Amino acid sequence: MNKFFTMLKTELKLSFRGMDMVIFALCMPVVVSVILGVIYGAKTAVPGVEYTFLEQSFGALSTIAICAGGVMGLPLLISDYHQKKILKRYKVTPTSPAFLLAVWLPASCIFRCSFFQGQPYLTK
Amino acid sequence: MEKTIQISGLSKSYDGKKVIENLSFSVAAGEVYGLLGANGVGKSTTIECILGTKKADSGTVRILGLDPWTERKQLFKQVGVQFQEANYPDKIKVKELCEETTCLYRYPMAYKELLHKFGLSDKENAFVNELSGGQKQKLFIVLSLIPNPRVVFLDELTTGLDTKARRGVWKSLLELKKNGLTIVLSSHFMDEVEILCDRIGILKDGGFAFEGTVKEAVALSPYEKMEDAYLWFTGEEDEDNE
Repeated sequence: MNKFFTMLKTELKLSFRGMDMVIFALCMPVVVSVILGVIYGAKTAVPGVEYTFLEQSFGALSTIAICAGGVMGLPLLISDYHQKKILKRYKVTPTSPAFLLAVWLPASCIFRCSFFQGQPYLTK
Repeated sequence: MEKTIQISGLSKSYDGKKVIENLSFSVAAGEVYGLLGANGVGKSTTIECILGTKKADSGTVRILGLDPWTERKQLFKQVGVQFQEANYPDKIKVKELCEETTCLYRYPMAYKELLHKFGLSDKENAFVNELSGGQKQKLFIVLSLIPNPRVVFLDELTTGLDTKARRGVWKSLLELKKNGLTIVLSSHFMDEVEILCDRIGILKDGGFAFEGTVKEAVALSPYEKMEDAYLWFTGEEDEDNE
C-alpha cells in the first residue's frame, strides 16, 4: 500500500503540474458551465418545466468532462509514457508497467470527484 | 561454479539485419564486465536483450540463476539498471523520482545518502529536466543503485560527465564492487575500462572480436595502449590513417 500511495501522490502532483488534466477535467467544465449560466441564466429548459437549461445540461457537461479526462487521459498517458520510455524503466523493476497505469485511474477519479463537489455551487 | 550472469547463443536482428549473432559470455560474482564497441555495433541491444526489454531472436539468459522473461519480478528485486537514454516523466522532481523508485523495493538503499555520494544533495528539490546532462546521468546511476542490487547494468555510465564527476562515479562503483556488486557496463572511454573492468568483450559484426582482460587485449594487439588495441580489434584504426 505504501508503494501505491507514494505513486498516487506523485502521479497527482504530475497531473497538476502537467495542466492538461486540470484544463480538461476542471477548467473546461467550469468555464462552459459559467458560459451557459451567463447565456441562459435561470431560464427553464423548455416552457412549462421546472428545471433550468443549466440543470438539464449538467449531465451532458459532466459526461464530456469525464470522457475528456478519463477516456482521453489514459491513452494520452500510455502514449506519453511509452514515448518517453518510462514504461520500459518499469520493466526492469519488480513492479509491472500496468501498476503505474492502474495508479493513474484513482488519480483521475480524484479530479472527477473534485468537479462534482463543486457542482451544487455552479448550478445555483 | 554457476556464474552470476550466463548468456548463451544470444541473437537479435532488426529487419533481417543481424545485430548480434550467437553471442555467449558469462560474468562471475563481484566482477566488472565491460561491453565495448563502435556506435551502433549492438552494445545497448545486447544489454536490452539480456534484461528482457527487447525480445531476443534466440539464446538463453540467466541472471542470478533466473530468467528475465519468466521470472522478471523475482529477478529485478536484485538488479539495478541505468539505460543510455533518459526515461522519466516531465515536471518530476529529483526527490519524487527517488521516492517513486525507492517504494518499488523492499530493502532499498537510502536515496539521500546516494544523492550525497554523487554530489546531488542540493538538487533534491529541483526538477529533473532542469539538471545539466551530467547531473542527470549521475541521477540515473543513483536510481540504478537504489534497489541495493546484487547486479547492476550501466549503459554508457559516464557519458556527459566532467573529469571529476567521472572519477567520483568510478570510486563509488569500486567501493560497491568490494561489497560484491557485479557490474556489466558499456563504455566508449578506455581509461574507464582500464580502471573499472576485470574483463571486457569487444563487439564487432555481431560477435566478439575479443574477450578477456584488458592486459590480454593489449598483449594480443601490436600496440601498448588499450585505446590503440581497441581500435585495432574493431578495425577502426585503418579509417584514422586513411
